[in-house]
Amino acid sequence: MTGISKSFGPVRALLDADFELAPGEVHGLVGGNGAGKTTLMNVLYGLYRPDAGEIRVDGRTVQIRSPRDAIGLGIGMVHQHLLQVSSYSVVENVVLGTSGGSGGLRAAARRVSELSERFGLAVDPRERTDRLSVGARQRVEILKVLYRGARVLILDEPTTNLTPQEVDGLFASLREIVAEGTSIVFISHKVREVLAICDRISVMRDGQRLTTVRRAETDATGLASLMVGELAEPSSDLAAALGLGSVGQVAPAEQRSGHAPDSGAPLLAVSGLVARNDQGVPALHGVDLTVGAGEVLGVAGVAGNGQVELAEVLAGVRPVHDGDVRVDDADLAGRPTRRWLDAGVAYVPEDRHRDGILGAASVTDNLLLGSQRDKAHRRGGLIQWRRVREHALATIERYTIKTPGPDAPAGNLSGGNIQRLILARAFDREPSVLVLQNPTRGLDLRSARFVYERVHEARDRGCAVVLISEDLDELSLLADRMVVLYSGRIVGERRRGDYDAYALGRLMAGVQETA
Amino acid sequence: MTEFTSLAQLTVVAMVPFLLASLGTMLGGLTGVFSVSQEGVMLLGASVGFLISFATDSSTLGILLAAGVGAVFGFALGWATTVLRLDQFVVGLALFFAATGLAGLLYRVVIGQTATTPRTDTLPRLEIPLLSEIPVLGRVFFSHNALVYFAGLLAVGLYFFLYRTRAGLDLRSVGENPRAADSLGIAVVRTRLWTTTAGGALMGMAGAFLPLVYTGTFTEGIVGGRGWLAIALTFFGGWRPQFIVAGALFFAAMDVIALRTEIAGTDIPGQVLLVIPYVATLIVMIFAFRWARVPQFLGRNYDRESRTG
Repeated sequence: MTGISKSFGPVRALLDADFELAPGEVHGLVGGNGAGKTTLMNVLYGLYRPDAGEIRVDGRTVQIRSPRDAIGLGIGMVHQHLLQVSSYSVVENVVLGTSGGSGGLRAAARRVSELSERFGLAVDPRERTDRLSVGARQRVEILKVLYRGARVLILDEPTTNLTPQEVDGLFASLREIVAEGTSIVFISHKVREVLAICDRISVMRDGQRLTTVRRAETDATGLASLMVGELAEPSSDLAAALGLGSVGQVAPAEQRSGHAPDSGAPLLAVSGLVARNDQGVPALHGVDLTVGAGEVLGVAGVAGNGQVELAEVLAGVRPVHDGDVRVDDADLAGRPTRRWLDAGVAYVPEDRHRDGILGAASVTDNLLLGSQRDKAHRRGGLIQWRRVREHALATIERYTIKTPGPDAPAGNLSGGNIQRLILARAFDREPSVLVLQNPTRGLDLRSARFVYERVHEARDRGCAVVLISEDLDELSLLADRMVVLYSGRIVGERRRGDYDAYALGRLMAGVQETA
Repeated sequence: MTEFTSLAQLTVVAMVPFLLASLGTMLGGLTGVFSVSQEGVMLLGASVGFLISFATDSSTLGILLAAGVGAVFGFALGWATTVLRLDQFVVGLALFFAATGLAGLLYRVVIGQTATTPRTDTLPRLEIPLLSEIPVLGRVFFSHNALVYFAGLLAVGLYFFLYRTRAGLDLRSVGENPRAADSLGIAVVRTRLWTTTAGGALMGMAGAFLPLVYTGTFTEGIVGGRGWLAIALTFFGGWRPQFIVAGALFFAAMDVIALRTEIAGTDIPGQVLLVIPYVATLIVMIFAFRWARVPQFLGRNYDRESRTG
């Protein structure tokens, strides 16, 4: 694949990306969320039409317009969200779309059993898929691909919901599959797994392939730093712009203009937090956190280790399965989102288009969201639109949101301006707890700087800030304290002045901390 | 002929419009497209079926053209909701109004005001040799017009196609999880288009049945809510042909009993009797919804490149 570009509206997912897969290899494709790994493979599988670029199979240029074309070329893909008809049996799911094939379901079931035996993918072909465990459903997905005789098997984050035992089993099966000449693309952001199974590893960042390394030539720390950006890599123009000295050097605490975190009672206290992901599998296993007023807590880690779940729980939009979340000593677990808002929790979500705004609603409406019950905006049960509009105009000016007007649909703004809108809305409520996840992803330097300034402003106002990010530069720039999230647990903590890229990288890669 | 046999026979006849319209609804629904224009398309089918049959003296041609017009409306629904990805409910309502208006307009343009109601022959009864000789059963099941047999065979045929063939498995997967279907190379849009088109044709046919079997003439109230009931019936039948047949029989029996009681003349006002089918529907639906299985993706459009759904 060469020169692949793909945009979704204003979002540029791939920019001149390339990728090469050799016969009979396991090729790891790693990178943070939004790096373009899945998009690139969806292009290969015909689910997305690229805006530009060329795909060659066996040296010949091919047009892949739909999954049907991809299947015809011997390409199969297992998606992260398992694509199964849950009311169908295993064999029905497997034969789906192969209606040209001869023989009845009984013959198909025999072939499925045969394949599952040969590759160690144990599953009962007659069972209904919604009665299977996530691991078994995963095996069904692989069987689907094998049943079609694929030569290329793409696995998108296959281990997300698997137990360690299931991961071992999966890897054993994959080795069998490769041994028969099939090539595998293994999309992941789990460094250890990639190192365990892959022959070659390509690292993606910002919609491009950064580099490809052989397994033998890299290790966990090296790979982790490639993925998140090495601390040593000077993005010092950003730091200079912020007047915070060069990044990568350990930033001395004195630089923080006499600011010291409040040592009083923590404003936000989380203890024993357990939460589940969208598939109902536990994603956080007993997280403890405290953040004081005027403190910025950084949460580092490779994506997919519970960040989304942590952010959403702290914002009050994902149920707390077990444990406490206290704001100002009031337990909010299980309370309605409105209570969280009233307690002063503000949230800047990772996926700003999906979770941050109502794309079709106007900028004014979006600025009002969440504050519609405020006395300032209503009289009786009616919203005072004139006052809301004046307020919106003032906000647009103060936060320099570039928009054709207050009535323009928010979804048409650029990423940076949407982020300004979300921040403006969050700050408007004078929050006491601010939760941000990857707040500068995909933003240009000026917008990123704007975000950083706002975070500082919040801190100085005595807000407890939780900054969840995959960008170590960003974290070391902003955080007073950093914890590392791995597999849904906090595996380490560092204070400002003790940020070491290699130590953090090891923690993020899940290498046990010694001493 | 005993009272029971005649009631049963009438019920089987009355079942047909429900059955055809409901199977049509089911077909589109199984691929995820939910139609709400049955009432209008049936009225249009009734109008076209009557007018063609009146003008050409061929009820076969009437039925075929009614099905053709229904197919056009079904295709329009499929096209607007897949290619244009418009809201299914809004498009369905618009098509309902368009079909209703067109039905009345056509009749007025072609027939205009007349002193006597124009009539056309109703469909001839086809006795099935031997089978119609069976006592009771022969009368009830094998002594009808061609459309009755067609509806019955269609229900059986659809059952086998949908639940016993690979193509049926593929078709249903589009309504259950179009993303999964698409990822396996099943043409989601094409499947949706042909099922809504065929579904529309069945609704048009259901409409044509009314003037060509019941009345021999067309009035604007001829459908009388059967289209709406067909939607309820489809849910009641859990979007499966075998249960839809059972449901259609139930609704038809309600219809026939209400009519019979009215004719027999009781103290109960006719209006109350006419309400019986609807009340029965309400009651049955309340219970049916508890167990009825609905296609997972019913009423939702599919966009391959959308990153959320």
